[in-house]
Amino acid sequence: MAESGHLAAILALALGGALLVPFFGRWARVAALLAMLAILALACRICLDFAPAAPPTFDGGGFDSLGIRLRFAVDGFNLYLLLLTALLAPVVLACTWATAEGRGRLFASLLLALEAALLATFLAQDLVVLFVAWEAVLIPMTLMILVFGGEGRRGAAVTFFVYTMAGSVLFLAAVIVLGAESRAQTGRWSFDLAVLQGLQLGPGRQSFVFWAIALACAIKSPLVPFHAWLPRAYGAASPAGTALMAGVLSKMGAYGFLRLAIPLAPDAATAAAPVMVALAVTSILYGAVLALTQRDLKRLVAYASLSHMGYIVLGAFGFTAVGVQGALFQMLSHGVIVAGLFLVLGLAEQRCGTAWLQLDGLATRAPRLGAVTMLFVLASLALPLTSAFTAEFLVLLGAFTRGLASWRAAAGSGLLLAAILASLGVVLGAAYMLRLARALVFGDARGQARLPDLSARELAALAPLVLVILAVGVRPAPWMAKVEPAVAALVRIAPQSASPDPARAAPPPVTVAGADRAR
Amino acid sequence: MTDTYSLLVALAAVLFAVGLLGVMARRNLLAVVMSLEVMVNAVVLAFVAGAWHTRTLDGAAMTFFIYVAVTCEIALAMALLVLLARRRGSLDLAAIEELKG
Amino acid sequence: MDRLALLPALPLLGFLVNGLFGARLPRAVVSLVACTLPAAAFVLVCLLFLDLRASGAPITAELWTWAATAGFRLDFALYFDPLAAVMCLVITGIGTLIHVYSIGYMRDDPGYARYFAYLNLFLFFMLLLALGRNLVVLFFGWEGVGLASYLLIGFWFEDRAKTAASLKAFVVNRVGDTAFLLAAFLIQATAGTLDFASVNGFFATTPPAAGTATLIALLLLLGACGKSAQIPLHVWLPDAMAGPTPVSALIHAATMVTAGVYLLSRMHVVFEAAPDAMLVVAWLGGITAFVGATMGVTAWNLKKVLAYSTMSQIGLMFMACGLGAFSVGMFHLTTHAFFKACLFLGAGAVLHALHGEEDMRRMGGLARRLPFTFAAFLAAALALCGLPPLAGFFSKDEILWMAWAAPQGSPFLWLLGAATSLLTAFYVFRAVFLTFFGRSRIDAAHAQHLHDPPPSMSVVLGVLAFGSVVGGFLAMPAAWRELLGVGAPFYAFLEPVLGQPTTRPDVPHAAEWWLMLVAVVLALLGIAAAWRRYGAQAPAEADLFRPGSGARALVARGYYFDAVYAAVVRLVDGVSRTVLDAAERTFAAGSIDAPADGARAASRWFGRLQTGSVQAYLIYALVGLVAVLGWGAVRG
Repeated sequence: MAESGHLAAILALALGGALLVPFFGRWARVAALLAMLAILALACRICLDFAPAAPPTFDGGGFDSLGIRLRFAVDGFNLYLLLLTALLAPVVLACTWATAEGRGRLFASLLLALEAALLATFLAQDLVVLFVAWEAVLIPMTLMILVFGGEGRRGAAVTFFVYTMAGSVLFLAAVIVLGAESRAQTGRWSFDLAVLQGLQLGPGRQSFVFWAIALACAIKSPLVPFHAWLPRAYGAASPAGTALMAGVLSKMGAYGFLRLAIPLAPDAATAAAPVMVALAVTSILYGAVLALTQRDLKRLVAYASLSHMGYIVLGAFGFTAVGVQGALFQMLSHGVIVAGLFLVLGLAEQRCGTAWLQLDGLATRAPRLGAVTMLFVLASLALPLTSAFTAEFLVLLGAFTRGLASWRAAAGSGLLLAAILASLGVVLGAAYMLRLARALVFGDARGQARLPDLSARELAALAPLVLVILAVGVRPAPWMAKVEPAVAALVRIAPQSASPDPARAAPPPVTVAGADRAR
Repeated sequence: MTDTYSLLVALAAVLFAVGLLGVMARRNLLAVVMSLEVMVNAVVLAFVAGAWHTRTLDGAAMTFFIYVAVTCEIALAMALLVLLARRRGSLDLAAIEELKG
Repeated sequence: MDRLALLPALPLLGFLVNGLFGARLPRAVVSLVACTLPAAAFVLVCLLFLDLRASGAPITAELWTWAATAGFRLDFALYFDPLAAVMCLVITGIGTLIHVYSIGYMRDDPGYARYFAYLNLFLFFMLLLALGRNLVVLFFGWEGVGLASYLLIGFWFEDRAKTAASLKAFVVNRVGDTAFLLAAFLIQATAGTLDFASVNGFFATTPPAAGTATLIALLLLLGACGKSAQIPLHVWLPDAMAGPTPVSALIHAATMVTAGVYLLSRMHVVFEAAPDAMLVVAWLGGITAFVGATMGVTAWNLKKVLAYSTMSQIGLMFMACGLGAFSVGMFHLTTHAFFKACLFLGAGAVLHALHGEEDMRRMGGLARRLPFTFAAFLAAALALCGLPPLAGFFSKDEILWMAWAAPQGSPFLWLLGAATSLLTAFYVFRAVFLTFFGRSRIDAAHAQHLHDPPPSMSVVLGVLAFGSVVGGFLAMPAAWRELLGVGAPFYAFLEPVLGQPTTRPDVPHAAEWWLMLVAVVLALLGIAAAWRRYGAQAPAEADLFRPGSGARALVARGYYFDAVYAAVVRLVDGVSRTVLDAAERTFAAGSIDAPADGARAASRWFGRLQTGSVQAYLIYALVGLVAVLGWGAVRG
């Protein structure tokens, strides 16, 4: 199939690129950019042609005796993430082209290595391959923080590495448990996700598997209370590093929930849903309230990022089709928007050096940059017709409808309460984002010199992000159709008995005059 | 009334213990190495006793293997001792604690 | 159908052209693009209107499916029925006029192109709001106009006070928007759809439990309060006067703030299914009308007086909706758009002439210097007071009649409305007398080149004043209709959508004439009182600048709403700075520092085993060996 060829090509380009790019000397950056653009083109091709019935797969062989196969596939859950990763890598490279870090070979090859590891994580269909790639992501990322970061980068890099690794220890245990379980039930070792999903695990084992993976994902996302590494790491890393961490790495955690924790331990997941929903809502509100009074704009966006990740978990554990669709959109949307915000802050920092914290009046000093900043600010506060609105609307709708149904069926009001509290995040989001805009973009800058405005290269780099934001905001339906079967499979895990049947409730829309009047 | 074999093995054990005590408790490195040799000889004695008791030659053959190995080891140990003595001026084990911590 | 889809696209095109290229285009091109596209939109609306009248069937345009998944489906669809037609006519008509006015008003502003881009953007979103076929498309427009409002209030963004005002407007609106979203979720959960026709059909045929309908209605009301600046979400409107005056006229008088009334009318079936909620709407409207009028009495800033007036008049519209007279509310919306826009643009002409002076205490005697402006302003002021036969009389009167005679109406509600009318006449003529009459108190710096505005501005003023005068005849109250034997084309047009308002059977018809008389007398009384206080003899300057006490101070401080909200914001910020900061430090300490320190301490403790003495290590090895052997021996 042509698509599996695309998939193989993507992985080969990424991995090969990472290894070979340093040998290009002065042309390393250009070579890396070309490789990334090729990957992006292939990823777009796959996304556009994606048909749920015939997902592209690539099988690279493996160790059958151990049950490990290098199998990669695109399906509803990783479709957006494939696009996100393929998109963000060249964008980040292009935005940092002119900086000191961007000029070297190391940055470009680290970026490619990171992209390769991320793609492998998202596309892997084998649990061991996924785990190896999951851990492999840490290496280029830590190096990026260490080498290119700012103040406090050593401590931040170590914190990031150790904290994330600590979460993965139990994850590894879960992997082994699952493998052993497959051996016990099917007679052969197998780590293939499809096989593992078919296993029948006892409640104790399911519980362990779920919580082990959930812990690793909760650290990665992150979710309160496992988020303490976030301000340090985001603060110390360079803007490009932070854009990648917030944009893509955090999605690994969310992906882990959707791909692994829930399908591999469905009963435990359903039982754990109230706790996860509570953590999600706590993250939303905690991050939002903290973001209100941050003076440091990078920390503000970091806490905003924490807040917005909560919506993904809320959507995932609401177990409604609408909610999961919203969660998937929020993965893509949040990745693009928060990366855009950090990149824009990075562009401002490039222009001002260390004095950038006192920067204001961007609208006067660099109008195009100010306008693009406002675009991302508005997208972040979930303005309708942007992707964030689509995502948050769907997530909240799903949580609300299911919460209301369970409250009416006297099965608990937790989810309903969660939906209402999460809606408060909408107000807080506007408040802190507009404060950021007021501090950075607006203000009296008459006495200050003009800054170099957005160059064509930077504009070209940020434009695709804006396009994605608008595309998902204005017309999300085609995207939803592509991921529908995967969503449906997830929702089947916890079917809702008391859901209002839309076919029964809604009379067919009447467009004749007088329809509004009561007869 | 215990037989010869048991007595021999007991002797070997006693010799081993004495050597072990020497290794653990002596402060002079040369004395430690000598105690180590006593331990080795105890092991050889045990092997020979075993060979005598089973009327085979396997145990006796081990003697050669052991002594060859021990000779090499003593050569190395002596070389180390000489170097150490030259560097430190003493062979006191209590003074050599660089691996502490 | 394609025409309907084209309608919002026209101002969107204007936004894109002026927004992306405006800085490089010559002023004339910018003005041309910015004004002809809304004018074209107006023409289009007229054509659609004629189509509608001819066929009687609403026009729809299904653009694309927005979302489709199990249990939820939503189309991006537009819908042009009589209600939407009225809104679109007001939006595009008055919008075009204000665009033309802005050419003169913003002539000297460096952000000319940006201004028109934002204004066109506003029109685009407002049209989406009015044309949306379901709650989500309406919400696109709803939030979008909030965005345009934010950008335009903070247009002169170098001023920190103005950006604070724009932020406040957006966040207060967002509170209302959250209520709107919750209402939408509840509707989706109850009716399974968000399409207006389906929802209204559902609530008409199978109304859910009364509690649900009431809750939905109250949430929608809260949302409408946010957008329409009604209590308790009214605090943003006076601050919003920081924007350019044409913006105040268009967004904060004629169109955006009336979106709440439109929402109530659109969802009228839901409200009719919840009579308790309707009662709340009526009383909330009445109270807001009264409170707004009191605040207008004490304000010294000309634009703020008009802002409070808008709040008050929209309160009356809400009152009408709460009493079931949705079409009356819509009629007042239309007439109000004319005379309020005229008042604001007249104020704009005054500001323009005075180079930005907004405090009425520093105006005076402008009737001689700005005669045309004065004439237009006076006409609009008389319309606002509700003096016959100007437009405001017919619409406001009908509302007051409904307050007395509707099933849920009561004399007390009427009293609120009547008191509001009295105060309205008082404060608007207070403004007229302070601004245009008496001795000039203008600063020398501002007093140069006082002249009537250029034609681009005065033509618009004239048109709006004309509309304020004659617009009322579109829908005269029932009593007049009976007397004169004419129909009410406006109400007839809206009847298929909004139905007819009903009155209690026990109220005599003649009462309508008495109430009308009382209303006119009250208005004249108000004007007379204002004349006595501010017109007849020039008020002493010391009197004007003396701060008020007691009740006056209470009103001047906005009944402390702002103070309460500011305290809430400070509380949340305080929590953020103290409690959560401490929480963050605890998390960091607990999950990063504590394990790190613990690991280091453990490492140091275990390190004590490394004595450096080879013999000690040998002992460890021996002990271990004995243990293993022993364990093996025990296990057998």
